Amino acid sequence: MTLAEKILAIYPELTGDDFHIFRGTILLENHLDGNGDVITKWEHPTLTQPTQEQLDGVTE
Amino acid sequence: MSKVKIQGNASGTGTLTISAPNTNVDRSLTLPDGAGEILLSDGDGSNLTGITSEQATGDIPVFRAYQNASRQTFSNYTWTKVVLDATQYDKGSYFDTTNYRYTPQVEGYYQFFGQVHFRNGSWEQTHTALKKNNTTWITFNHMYYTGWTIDDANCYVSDIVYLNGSTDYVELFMNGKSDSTPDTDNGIDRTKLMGNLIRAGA
Repeated sequence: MTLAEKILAIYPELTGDDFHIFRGTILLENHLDGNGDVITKWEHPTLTQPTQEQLDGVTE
Repeated sequence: MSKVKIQGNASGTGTLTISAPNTNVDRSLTLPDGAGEILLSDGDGSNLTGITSEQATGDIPVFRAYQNASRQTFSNYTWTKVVLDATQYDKGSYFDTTNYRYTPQVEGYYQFFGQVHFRNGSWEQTHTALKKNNTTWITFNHMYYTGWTIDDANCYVSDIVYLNGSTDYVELFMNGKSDSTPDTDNGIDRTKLMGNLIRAGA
């Protein structure tokens, strides 16, 4: 699963707009530097940024 | 009073003639207070020190990089750097086909044009962007296909960016939402980034 899919699984109330670079509060990036997809901004007003443990716990 | 001295050349045999123009107006010509040479009207300007060698010789940095070896998969909703692993031309050799970035060594203002061919699945939205030094988003193009989906979408982005001629670089990023595994289509006419210097200096 991708990072975005795991976040959406943890917080199903999120939509694509939450990831929009202007309207959204969450920014995901991949710089092709070996770190894969990463969260570079999390400013959601009510939902806290999931921990690595939470993300790792999401499986298909 | 300073003087004007015309000095011949002991080795040459030609005659230097200084001619007056066909005019009825009195004019004065003031020589610069410095050593050097006066350029001929058909000189290439390469001896001038006030402009860059690129300006004098017309050797303007210009490049066209593209995605060559394979298609690039990425994740929905994730801004991903675009793989550009080949160049069609790269005057100055400033494009890095390993890190997919353009770092010209001539200070100035550069015009960029990027294109990503979004391929697999039906696309709900596609985005492209130019990013400077991996810290500053320069410009975006957001395409939303509301009410319908699109297969094979080209998304463009363009802007003018100042680069310091040493460490500044520009990269092409993409984002999107597909109902299948998102990827690009590779090829010299598909996914690419082009740019050129349009004004040297700060």
